[in-house]
Amino acid sequence: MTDRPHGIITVASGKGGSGKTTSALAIAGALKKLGVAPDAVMDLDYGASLTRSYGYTPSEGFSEALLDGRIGFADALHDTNEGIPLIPASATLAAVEKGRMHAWRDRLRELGREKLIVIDTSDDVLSAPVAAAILAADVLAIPTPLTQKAYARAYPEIAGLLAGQKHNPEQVWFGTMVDQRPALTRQLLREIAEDGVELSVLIPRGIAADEADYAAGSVVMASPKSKVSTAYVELATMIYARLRRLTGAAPGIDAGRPTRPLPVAVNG
Amino acid sequence: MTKTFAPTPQRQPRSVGGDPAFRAAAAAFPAEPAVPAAPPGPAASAGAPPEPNAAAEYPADAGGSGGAVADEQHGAQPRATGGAHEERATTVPPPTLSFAPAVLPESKMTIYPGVTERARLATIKTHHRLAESIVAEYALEELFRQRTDDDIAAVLRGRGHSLRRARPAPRADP
Ligand SMILES: Nc1ncnc2c1ncn2[C@@H]1O[C@H](COP(=O)(O)OP(=O)(O)O)[C@@H](O)[C@H]1O
Ligand SMILES: [Mg+2]
Repeated sequence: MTDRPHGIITVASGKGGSGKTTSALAIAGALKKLGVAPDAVMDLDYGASLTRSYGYTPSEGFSEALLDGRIGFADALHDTNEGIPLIPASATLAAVEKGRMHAWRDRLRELGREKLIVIDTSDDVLSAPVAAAILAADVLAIPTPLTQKAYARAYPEIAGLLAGQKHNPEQVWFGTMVDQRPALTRQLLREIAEDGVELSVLIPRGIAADEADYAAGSVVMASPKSKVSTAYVELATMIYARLRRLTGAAPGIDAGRPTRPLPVAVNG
Repeated sequence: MTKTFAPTPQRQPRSVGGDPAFRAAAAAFPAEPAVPAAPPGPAASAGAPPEPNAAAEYPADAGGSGGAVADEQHGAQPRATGGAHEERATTVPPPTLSFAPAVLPESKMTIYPGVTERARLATIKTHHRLAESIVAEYALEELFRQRTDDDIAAVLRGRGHSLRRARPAPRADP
């Protein structure tokens, strides 16, 4: 067993605009801040928004080439402002046939035995790249936007996919775009809680999340003192704890000061 | 680490199992093939002993789709026709290729060298010991040889890089 932190953290949701890309960036940035920088952030969204977020123009599918075994891990890495290597995506991911899913999943699991990788996905959960990333995940990070009544429609495919393949990653659900206007947020939180889902962290809505794009990096890098960043650092701490439990990787993490919970209570 | 964490939450929303999308998703992918199709790539941890990693403990998906699992859990609900499942399983979602050209910050970097070049370099490296800095040095020489500065700028622009004026501008923008 390697004593370096390793494993696959996949950010997934069947809902577009739920904060997947923002969260993948921020989780990676927060892990780095905690002293466990990922070996790579991998873009598996055919829209390549993560690739763009790091300031790259999508041109070639490096994630695809890596998972097809055409290039090695080191050859897929691209420098970023944040100091976390990016494995870029291109639109050709949309054409990956379902038949390649199992091979990609196995390749990702293999990578996860040595590397710590954060993966951003598209909302097309049943496409081969996204399904592979979900089924290879050690930890599945599931953003739940608390802005609209999207909750009920967002996850059946992820849950079904996992049931169908008998795979059981650690699931870390968290709220995104949480604002302090209480009525809708509280109502949604109550529904979610009644449904048996525990949101581990609530990421506040904040302009810092949007602005990060202009820094070609995560909100944790761009606005380290923002509330959004603080919440993501807390999320990353939890994710890492789950990962450690699974993989037995060395601690390597500085838990730092405990962070204060957000003042939004589930039961009002 | 002194921090303690809440116990692992529920695996999925209780309400989700009755959703048709759940049932379709459970049957979306065929069983794992008997022989893994993944070729050991360059980054493979070949020869490494199996680790007590969660990944190694994933049960094989033998025995077919999880339709059975879904049925077990939600036996009271009528199962959709096999046809619907088949269609769901084999239809590749329509590729949405029409993402808009970068709306966000103007990109600072473009991805070079490409997959082809990297794959070829990887192949060469299986036969020869070779530092990438030598390749980079050679490529730079090739680029700079017999080209004026303006020509070099034109070549780079031709590859899609937007060359901006340095600050403070020393001369007229080429
Ligand atoms: N905590 C937040 N506060 C404010 N805006 C956010 C937050 N998280 C995400 N956003 C914004 O919401 C939009 C969608 O987020 P994104 O991460 O791209 O979602 P996805 O990848 O799921 O489509 C983006 O414009 C992003 O900047
Ligand atoms: Mg995205």
